[in-house]
Amino acid sequence: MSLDDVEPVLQVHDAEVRFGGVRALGGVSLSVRPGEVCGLVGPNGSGKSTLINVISGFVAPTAGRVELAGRDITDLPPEAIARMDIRRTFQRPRFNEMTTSLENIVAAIKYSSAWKTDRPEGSFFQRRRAEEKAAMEALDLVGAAEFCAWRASALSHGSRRKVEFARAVVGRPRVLLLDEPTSGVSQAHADLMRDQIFQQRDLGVAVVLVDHDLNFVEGTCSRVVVMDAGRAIFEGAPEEAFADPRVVEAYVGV
Amino acid sequence: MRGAPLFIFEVAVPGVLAGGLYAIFALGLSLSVGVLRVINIAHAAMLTLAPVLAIEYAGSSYPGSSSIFVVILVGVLVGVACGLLQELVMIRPIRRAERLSARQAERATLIGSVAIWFVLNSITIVRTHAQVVPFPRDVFASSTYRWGDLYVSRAQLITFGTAIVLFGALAVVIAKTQVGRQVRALANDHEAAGLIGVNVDAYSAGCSALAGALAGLAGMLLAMTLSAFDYANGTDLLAKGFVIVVVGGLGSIGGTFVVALGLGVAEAFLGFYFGTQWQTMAAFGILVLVLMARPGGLLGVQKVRAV
Amino acid sequence: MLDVLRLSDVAIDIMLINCVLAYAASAALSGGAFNVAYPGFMGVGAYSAGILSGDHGWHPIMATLAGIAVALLAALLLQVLLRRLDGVYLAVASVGFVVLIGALGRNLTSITGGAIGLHGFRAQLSREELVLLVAVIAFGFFVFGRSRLASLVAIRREDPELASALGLKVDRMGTILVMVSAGLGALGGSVRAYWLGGVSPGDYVFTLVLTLMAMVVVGGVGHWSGPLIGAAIFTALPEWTRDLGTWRDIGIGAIVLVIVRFAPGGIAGTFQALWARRRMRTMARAEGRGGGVGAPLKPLAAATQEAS
Repeated sequence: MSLDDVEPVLQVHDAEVRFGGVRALGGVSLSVRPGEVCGLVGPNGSGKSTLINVISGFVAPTAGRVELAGRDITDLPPEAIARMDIRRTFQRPRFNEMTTSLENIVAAIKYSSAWKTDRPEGSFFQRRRAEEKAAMEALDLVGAAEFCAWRASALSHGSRRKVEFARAVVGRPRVLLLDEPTSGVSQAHADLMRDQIFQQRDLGVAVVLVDHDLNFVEGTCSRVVVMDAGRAIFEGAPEEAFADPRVVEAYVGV
Repeated sequence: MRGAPLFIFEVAVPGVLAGGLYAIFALGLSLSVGVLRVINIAHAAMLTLAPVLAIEYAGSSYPGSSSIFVVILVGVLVGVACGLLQELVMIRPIRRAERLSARQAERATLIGSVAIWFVLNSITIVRTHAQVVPFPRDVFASSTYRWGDLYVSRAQLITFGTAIVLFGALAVVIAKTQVGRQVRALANDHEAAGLIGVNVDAYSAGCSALAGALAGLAGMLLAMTLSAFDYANGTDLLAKGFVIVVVGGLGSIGGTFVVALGLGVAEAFLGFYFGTQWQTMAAFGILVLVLMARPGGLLGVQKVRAV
Repeated sequence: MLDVLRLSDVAIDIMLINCVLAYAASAALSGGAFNVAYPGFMGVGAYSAGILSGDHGWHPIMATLAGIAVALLAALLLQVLLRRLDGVYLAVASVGFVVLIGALGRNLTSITGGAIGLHGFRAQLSREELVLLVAVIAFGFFVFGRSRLASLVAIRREDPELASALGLKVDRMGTILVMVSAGLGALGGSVRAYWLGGVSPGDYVFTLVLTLMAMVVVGGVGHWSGPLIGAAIFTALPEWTRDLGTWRDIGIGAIVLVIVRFAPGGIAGTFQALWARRRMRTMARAEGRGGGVGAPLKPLAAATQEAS
């Protein structure tokens, strides 16, 4: 059974967003299947982050629909969407700066429905131990375990991105929205990110990846959507995307 | 209709004139909140301390102590000093503190302003021995003008006139001059303004001094209008001042002016038809109604929730 | 022991009552919203005591419970109005509630005794009862503070959008916090009114917003012991420094400024951070630099328990 036979878990239909007189998104559609990594690229201001904000519930579209496994989630607030196991990272990593990285990650578990249904056995304290263990494991995966007891404010930029990623995956999400996860990090870090994204993909997570590093996108995504001025101008395999004249013009003709 | 002329004399004109004082007070507050991003509780204490010290000056034998202009100037200078004190001791150190997040800085400046309010208020209470202080009649005695059935006090006219001149001048400065542009940049975003070359420290100090001056001026005009002064005046005015600033739109000069006058009229209206006890509720009644409809204030920026 | 502290009996009782009031303010402020309506709820509690006990002979406990019920209802209604507001807007609008209660107190003279208020219904709690009350409330905050929900509330305080991205219903949480604030506030107002034997509109004015806020912030927002520390300091300091005149107030103001600038977590938060840092240093020394991948869970979990 190939990927094409599986029903998409996340679908955006003709999303449109207007801020005052500005059209940030104009009729954009997107469809991601479980176990698929879909890239979202485009020049600055093309609406990539706005689309992520629409999907995660931070911006209400003026037109269009967002569906999760067929269910309409367009007008739901961010907390409802997070509880449906759609998790995200931010362009600039956000934390409770005053607490440790472990604390920050554990906080993401409470409202994960995967954890609710799959509740670990045992007393209150045993469950808490299990949560902390899972958080440690998530930190381990991204190679940031040594920073578990560090205050978030003390972390370097690269570590912040790693911890934010760990926080996004610890709750076993169905959909993962990554907003520029490799911006400002080393090649080794980017390779690690790619491996982690593949790991999530293999677990059946649908991943939407926004990034400016086109090489990274090409190496990680099976499909890519190119945006320009709020519209999707191309959708298909990454190799074809970067050879497409419309795409080239969008990037160069700015 | 016999009701109409009565309305104008008993309600509208006194209301608008009273609004003049609110406008001057609220303008200083608007500067602090809109440009400096400080919920400036201490503004009320500056309003109170200025006339107290100025009246002391008037009673002394220092030069110019019998001239109303000099006495007013003393009051304004006290305000400036308080404003600069707040800037140097609280606003600047907190702005420079890198360890504080935006929200923590917001909380910090609020409590810091409360601390300064506390200190200035204590000084006021000590200097006045918690008594009401009369404004010396030989320096200024308010008289009442009469126009048919309309009674208007000289102090109120002076206040209103000052308000118009102030607002006009400030509006022009903010909109047309280089200085004004830099202030607007500062109001939008401290960090960005600093990056594009605005001397944040200097402009912040300037705004603090100006806000303090306005508080002092408002205090002087209030004391002249009431012919006496009580340290409790400040807190009453503070709540109303914030309502004006919030309803008129943070940092919006025109909005502050219009809403201040409107509040004066609304209070006069309520006082005339329902009795003075409910006057304070006028302010909050308006506030609640407006905020329910437009959470960003009448003329201010609407907040769009976005990451 | 009282002699060592140089605090009169009265001062200690007042401090305990202030603790309750500070907890009420803390509940409202710990979620990050500048909802400062708490003096209004305190007034509701105080007036319930005065009206129901003073005029109608209700038993203090019943009157207090009634006051709490009214305050909770008022909080719910207030939230309907204030739900969409934030920052300065919320602060100013919530002050409106305080002003409203004061205006009602001053004007509904036949019920509330007008500007003079109501008097003569004293029913003081004993020292032990006050201590027990404060201890129970403090314990409640302590237990809640260890919960996962508390971490999310802390996140809401610093970054509400992040909290919602992690699944916290920020608006509903805000309402819950305000209701807790209202309940505790009414309780505190009631206890205070009974202790004083009187209530007047001048007791619950705008300035109470500021004094309680200062207590909470200096003590430490979001930490269970913050309100205790804050109330203790702001009740004891003025007592200890009575003889210093204006310099006392300037000194107190200066202390507050220093704390706000250098210790944003308040006194409680600073101690917590210092403790966590000591823990980390002992750990690092014990295991060699950094835990590394696959480090044993136990000490690390203990460290984060400390830090949380």
